[in-house]
Amino acid sequence: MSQFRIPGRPPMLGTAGVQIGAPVSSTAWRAAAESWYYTAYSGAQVVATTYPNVSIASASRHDFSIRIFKRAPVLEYEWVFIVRTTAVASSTLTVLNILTGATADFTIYDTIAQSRPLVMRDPLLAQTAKGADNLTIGFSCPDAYVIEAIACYEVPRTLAISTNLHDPTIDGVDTDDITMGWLALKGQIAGDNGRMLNSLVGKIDEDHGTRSAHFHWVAPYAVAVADSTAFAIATTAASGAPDNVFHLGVPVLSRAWEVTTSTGLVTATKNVQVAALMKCDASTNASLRVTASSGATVTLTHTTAVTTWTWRTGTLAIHTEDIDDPLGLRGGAWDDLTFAFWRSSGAGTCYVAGIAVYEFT
Amino acid sequence: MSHAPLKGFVASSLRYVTKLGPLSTAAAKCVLNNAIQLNEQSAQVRIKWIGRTTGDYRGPDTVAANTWQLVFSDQIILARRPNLRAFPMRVRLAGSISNASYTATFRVVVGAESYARLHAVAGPATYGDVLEFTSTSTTIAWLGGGLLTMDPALSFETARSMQALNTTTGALGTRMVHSPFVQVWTRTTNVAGVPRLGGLVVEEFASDT
Repeated sequence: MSQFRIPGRPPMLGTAGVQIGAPVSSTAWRAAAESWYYTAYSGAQVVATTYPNVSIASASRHDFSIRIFKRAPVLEYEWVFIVRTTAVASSTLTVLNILTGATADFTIYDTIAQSRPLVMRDPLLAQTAKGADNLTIGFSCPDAYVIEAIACYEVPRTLAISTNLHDPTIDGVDTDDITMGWLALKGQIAGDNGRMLNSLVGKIDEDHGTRSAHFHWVAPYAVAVADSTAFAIATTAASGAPDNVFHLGVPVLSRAWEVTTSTGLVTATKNVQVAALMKCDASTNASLRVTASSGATVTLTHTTAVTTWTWRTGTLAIHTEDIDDPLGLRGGAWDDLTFAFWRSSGAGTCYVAGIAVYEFT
Repeated sequence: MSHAPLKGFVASSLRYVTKLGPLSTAAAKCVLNNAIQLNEQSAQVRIKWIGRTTGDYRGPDTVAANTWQLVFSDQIILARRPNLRAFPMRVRLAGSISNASYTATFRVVVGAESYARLHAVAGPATYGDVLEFTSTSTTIAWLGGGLLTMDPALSFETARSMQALNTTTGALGTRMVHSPFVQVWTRTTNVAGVPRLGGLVVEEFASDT
């Protein structure tokens, strides 16, 4: 069955008579419906894109943990890796999805900067609620290699399963059962249909519009199955002189968000979640402060003094896009994040093996 | 510019839609605005690589003066808009050169392999899918930003088939996705000056005319 039920080339947005002060025409409804429809099927949506650029000489399995936010109940992921050998012309890389147990073997080559992406599909997963999740992926290879990039995409799909369209808590609509084209083209949007449509738009916005891959950085947190700090960022810095995790600011911009006035003024900031995979030596605590150049700050703490890896999370307000700026910058300036990492107490070493910044609403 | 009349999402519009009453014009406009805004919000971050330290950069394997060399290549999956075009892409690049006496030039290109290199290394950076940055500093820094637009006709060369779920019961089918390469090419004016790529940001952005 075709997933595009509205035939022909749709009109460009903004030319369909959807204007403030103008009556709402059936053409306008159609444009809105098509916007929704194509958004729903506009392709796989990235949930993480990261560039570890890690050189690995050991044949032992090296595991990464990636903190993501699933924007809707996810059934499948598509992973894309860029990996190359460094000591031999070619070798075999085994990738293990630790969540599902799926494995795949790939032949990798020593083509620097031209590595071919290795695509691995997860098998059908049990449907789970939207929300933050930790994906873990392992690599092993008999020869030395470099992991240049790891990306994870949600696979295009119908958006939800509910058929109770009058329930405002529904997660969306199964587009195999209901076509927004039918709904819009009737041109007879009554109260029930309008309410239903708005519920759908609102819920799908929450599920689908979320910008889930603002920033990810990862390093192996386990080698040969056991926890490892060999690749992590390590610090014993004091609070007064913390380590700067990245020497450049990390630019982030949230999608344009809620209109607050009738003139269409969009709120200037939106909360995102920041997360860090942290670990400390015994009786040692760590802090990681994230500061946006737009002003907000949040400090993640690893205070339980446990020696196992734990994702710590916090909330940070970042700039939303200014849709009228040529580059979307608010006030003409990039909103850059800085990450300061220090030992807050104890005498041991503190580690970070993963950082993630993602929208969660 | 935004195509949504209110340039943002009206999250509170539900209050305009009474439970059993007719749909008012105001409520309808909110719904329409939100539906269009939803599409524009689907723009996603595609590449965000930041070298962690000053020594974490990408350069050419071998250096030759005035010769374009590939230092970064990644394949991404793009969203498509109702007119079947890709979103314009907001690009920011960080780089430097090992010797401040010379100039490093960086060109970012997004497209199918069949033409990405041709566009990147063509004389002046005149293609819409190519952005150029330069550095004469030995310190890696953000070199600026720009908006990059894929040629809508050429973008179809980036299409590939992808397995997809047609129903929530798990039936599998296929669909087309646009999956171009993002590449960075560098050039130096002298072999004594080695270009260093220290960061790259490529984000879809709902700004178009």
